[in-house]
Amino acid sequence: MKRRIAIVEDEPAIRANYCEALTRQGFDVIGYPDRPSACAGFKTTLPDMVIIDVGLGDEAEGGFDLCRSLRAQSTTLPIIFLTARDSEVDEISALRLGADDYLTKSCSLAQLMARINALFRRMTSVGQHASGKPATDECLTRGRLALNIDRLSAHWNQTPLDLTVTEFWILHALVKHPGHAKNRTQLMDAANTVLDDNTITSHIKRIRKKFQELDGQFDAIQTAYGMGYRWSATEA
Amino acid sequence: MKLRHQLLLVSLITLLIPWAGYQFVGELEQTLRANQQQHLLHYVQLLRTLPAVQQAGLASQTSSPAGVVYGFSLPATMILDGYDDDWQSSSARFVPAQSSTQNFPALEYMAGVQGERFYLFLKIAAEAFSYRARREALSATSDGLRLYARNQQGLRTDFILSPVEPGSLSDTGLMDAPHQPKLSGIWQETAQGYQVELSLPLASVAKGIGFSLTRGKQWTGVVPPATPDPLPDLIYRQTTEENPALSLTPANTQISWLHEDGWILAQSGTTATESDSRWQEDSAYALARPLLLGIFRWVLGHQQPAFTENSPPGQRANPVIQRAWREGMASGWFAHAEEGQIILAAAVTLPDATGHPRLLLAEQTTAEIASLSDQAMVRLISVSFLLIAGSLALLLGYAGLLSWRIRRLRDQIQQSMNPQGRLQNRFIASSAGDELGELSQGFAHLLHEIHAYTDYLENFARRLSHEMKTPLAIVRSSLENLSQESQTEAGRIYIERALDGSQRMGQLLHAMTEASRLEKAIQTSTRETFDLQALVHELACAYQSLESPVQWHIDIDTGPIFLYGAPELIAQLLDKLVDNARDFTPPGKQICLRLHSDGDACELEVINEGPCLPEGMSQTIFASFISLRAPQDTGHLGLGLVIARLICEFHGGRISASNLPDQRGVRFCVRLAVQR
Repeated sequence: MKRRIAIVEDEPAIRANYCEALTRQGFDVIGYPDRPSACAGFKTTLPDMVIIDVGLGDEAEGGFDLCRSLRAQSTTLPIIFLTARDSEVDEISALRLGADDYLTKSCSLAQLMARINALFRRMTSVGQHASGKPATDECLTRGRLALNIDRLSAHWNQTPLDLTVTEFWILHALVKHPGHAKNRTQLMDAANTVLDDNTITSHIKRIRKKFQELDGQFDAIQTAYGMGYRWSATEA
Repeated sequence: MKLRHQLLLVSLITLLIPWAGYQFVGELEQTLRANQQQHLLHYVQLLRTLPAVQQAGLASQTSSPAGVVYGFSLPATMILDGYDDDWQSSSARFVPAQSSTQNFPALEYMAGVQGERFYLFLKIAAEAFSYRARREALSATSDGLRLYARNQQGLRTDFILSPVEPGSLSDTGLMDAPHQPKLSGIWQETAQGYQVELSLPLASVAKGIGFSLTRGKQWTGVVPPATPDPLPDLIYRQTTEENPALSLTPANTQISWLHEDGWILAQSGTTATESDSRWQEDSAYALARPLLLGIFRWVLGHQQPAFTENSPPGQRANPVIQRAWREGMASGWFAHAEEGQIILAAAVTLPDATGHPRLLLAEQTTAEIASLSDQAMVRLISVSFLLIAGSLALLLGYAGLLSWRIRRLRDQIQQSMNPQGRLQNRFIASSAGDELGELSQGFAHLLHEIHAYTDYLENFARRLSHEMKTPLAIVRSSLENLSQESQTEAGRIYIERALDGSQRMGQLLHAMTEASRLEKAIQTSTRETFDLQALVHELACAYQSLESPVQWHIDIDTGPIFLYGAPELIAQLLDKLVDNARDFTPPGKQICLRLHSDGDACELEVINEGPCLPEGMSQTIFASFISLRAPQDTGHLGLGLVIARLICEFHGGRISASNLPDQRGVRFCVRLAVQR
C-alpha cells in the first residue's frame, strides 16, 4: 500500500515540486495551501506523514498551530517541519510541539527523502515492536548505551532516551568509533542534513542534556576543540 | 578656549559700569566747576563796582617807565644786622638787578615794607670791596652804593654810601642834606661778598626808589647812576588796616588786586584747604580711599587743569590773568604748584579812572567739588564693585550651569555610542524648553532615527535571507525534479551547474544571517568554568595538523587559566581569528599564536605576517559587512570578526587589532578576565 504524505505549504511552486518529487518516489501525496483546508482534510482521514511549513499564508505561526492540533489527534503521526525559518528558537518550539524533525528549505530533496524514509522506518519498527514481532533489529551497544538502528531508538542504562532523528544520527556517528573525534562536517553528513557549526554544537548540547537528565554523571560525549566531538573510549 | 573662559571674558564687559560711572562723575565735576567759575566771575564783577574795592591797592601807584621795586610785606620790624635770617620768615625774595657790564659783581636785592618803614636788603657777590680811605673825600664818582629816594612831595634825596669799613651806615657822609630822611643800615662782609641791609621811612620813598652800585664808570642796580631819573616806583601790598575793602571777602575765597606786572597790590582772604575730617573716623577706610581713588584715577585718567602756576611770591601769572588783561574779564582753573591745589579763578580789570590799570582776581579751591566728586567716586566704586561681583558671580554661575548642561549633553551623546560605533539606546532627552533642551531633544530624535535605521539594516539581511529562501527552494526543488526526468548529457551538465549555483546562493544567505543568529545563540549560551590553556593548546595542535602553506609558531607560556564562560564560543572565537589570519598570510610566512596571563587577565594573541591594516580600520573591521579580502574572494561577508567581537563581549573581554610596529603584519589581541 502506498504511504500517504500530506504537504501543507502556502507556496504553490514548492508544494507542486515536493508533491511531484514525492510522487516520483512512490508516495501518495496531497497538498494543502493553508491551515483550514488541511484541517478539513485531516478530519476525515489522517495521512501517514505530514510535512508542514511554519508560516502558512497570513498565519505566521499557522504551521505550529496545525502541528498542535495534529498531535492532539494522533500521538504517533510523524510530523516534519520544512520551513525557511532557520532560527534555533523556531526549531526548538517545533520540536517541543512534538514534531519529529525540523528541516530548513535549504536542504536538498535527497535529504528530505532520507529523513522521510528514516522516519517511516522507525514507525514501522515501533509498530512491529508493539505488535510483539521478534526483534531482529540491527543494534549497537557501547557501554551503557544501546542503539537500535532500525527503530532509531536509544537506551542508556536500559532507560529509553527520547532523541530526534537528527540527534539520533549524530549520536550514532559518534558512538560508531569510540575515542575517534568526529568533526562537524562528518556529523552533519551522518545526520543527512546541512547545518552550520553552531547548530551542530547546539545539537550536541541537547544530546548531552538529555543524557544528563537520566544520569547526572554523564560525560561520555567529549569536546575535542578544533576537531569536533568524540565518544569517550571508556564507554565502549 | 572653554565656554567658561569665554563667558568670563565676556563678563569683563561689566567693567564698563565703573568706567561709565566715572565718566559721569567726571562730567558732574566739570559742570560743578563751570558753575563755580561762573559764580566767581559774577562775584568779582559785582565786587568791582564797589568804590572801596576800586580804591584798594591805589595807595602805591606807578607810572614810571623805569619800572617798579616791589616791597614785600614783612611780618615784623627787621633787625638791621646785615643778615637776611629775619627776612626768611616773610615771603620776600631776592630780585636780580641789572648790570652795566657782564663781569661786574652780581647784585640781588629784596625790598620790604613793615608799617611805616621801608627796608632794602642788597647782596653783592664780589671778592672784595675797595673801602674808601678814611681821609679820602666823598665824591660823586667814588666807588660805593648810591641810593635815590623821592618822597611824597616829589623831592629826591640821593644817598652815597661809601663806607671805610664794614659796620653801621648811620654816619655815612651824605651829598644832599636839607630834607634828608633818617637812613639807617649795616654793611656786612660775607664769604661770597658783602650784604647791605638798610631802612628808610616809607614816606621818604613814596614816589620812587632807586639804587646802584658803582665802581668808576661801571655800575649795577635798578637805575644808572648818571641819570637816576625817572626812578622806579615803589609798590607794596596794602594791609586790611589801610583798606577796609579787604575785609569784604567771603569765606574760602582769596581776592587779589594785581599790578600790571603781576605784583600783588592787595590781598584778602585765603582759599580753603582740603579737609579730610570726614574720612578720619575709619582709619582703614581712610587708608583705602586714596588708594582706591588713586588706582581709579591712574587707570581711567583724571581731569587736570592744563596750566600749573609756578609764579614767585608776590607776583601772579596765569592764563586767567593774561586773558583778563586782554578781554576785560576771564575765568578758568589751574593748578597751584606750591600748594598742590586746584584753583578756580575769575578775574576782571578794575575801572581805569586813575590811569593805573589793575586787575581784581578772585580764587577758590575746588576742594568742595573734589570732595563731592570723591564722595561720589567712592560710592561709585563700592556700588560698582558690588555690582560687578554680583553680576560676575551670577554670570559665572549661569555659565557654569550652561556649560554643565552642555557637557552633560556631550557626555550623553558620547555614551550613546559604544566604541564599535553601535548605538546604545540610553539617551534621555532633556525636558527643558530652551534651545539646549531642544538640542537634546533633537539629538534624541536623531539617535532614535539612527537606531531605527541601524536596526533596519541589521534586520534587513535576516529578512532578505528569509525572503530569498523560498524562491531559492523553488529553484532548487524544480532543478532537482528536473534532474529526475530523463535528460540529455548536456542538459544534465546545465542542471548540475544550476544546482551548484543555487547551493552557493544558499550558503551566502546562510552566512548573512549567521551573525544575528549567533548573537541570539550567544545570549542563551550557558557558562561554565574551564581551562583556557588546555583549550588553546588543543586547538593549536589541531591547527598545526592542518595542511596549510603557512608556518605555525605556538607560544603558550602559562599554567592553567580558568575562565568562566562558554568554551565552545572561545573555540569559535579562536577559529575565526585563525581563519582570518590564514586568509591573510602569504605562503611560507608565519602565524603566531600566543597565550599569556598577568594575574587578573590573560591575553590571547594571533599574529600573522602579511599585509597591514589600512589606517583607521583597527576598530571598524569588527563591524558587520566589513571585509578587507579581495573582491573575487567570494563567500565572505565580513562576519567572522563580528562574531569574534560578539563572543569577546559576551565574556566581558576586549578585542583589538593593530599593525605590528615594524609593519610586518597584523596582531589581533583578545583580553579576557581570569576567574580567581
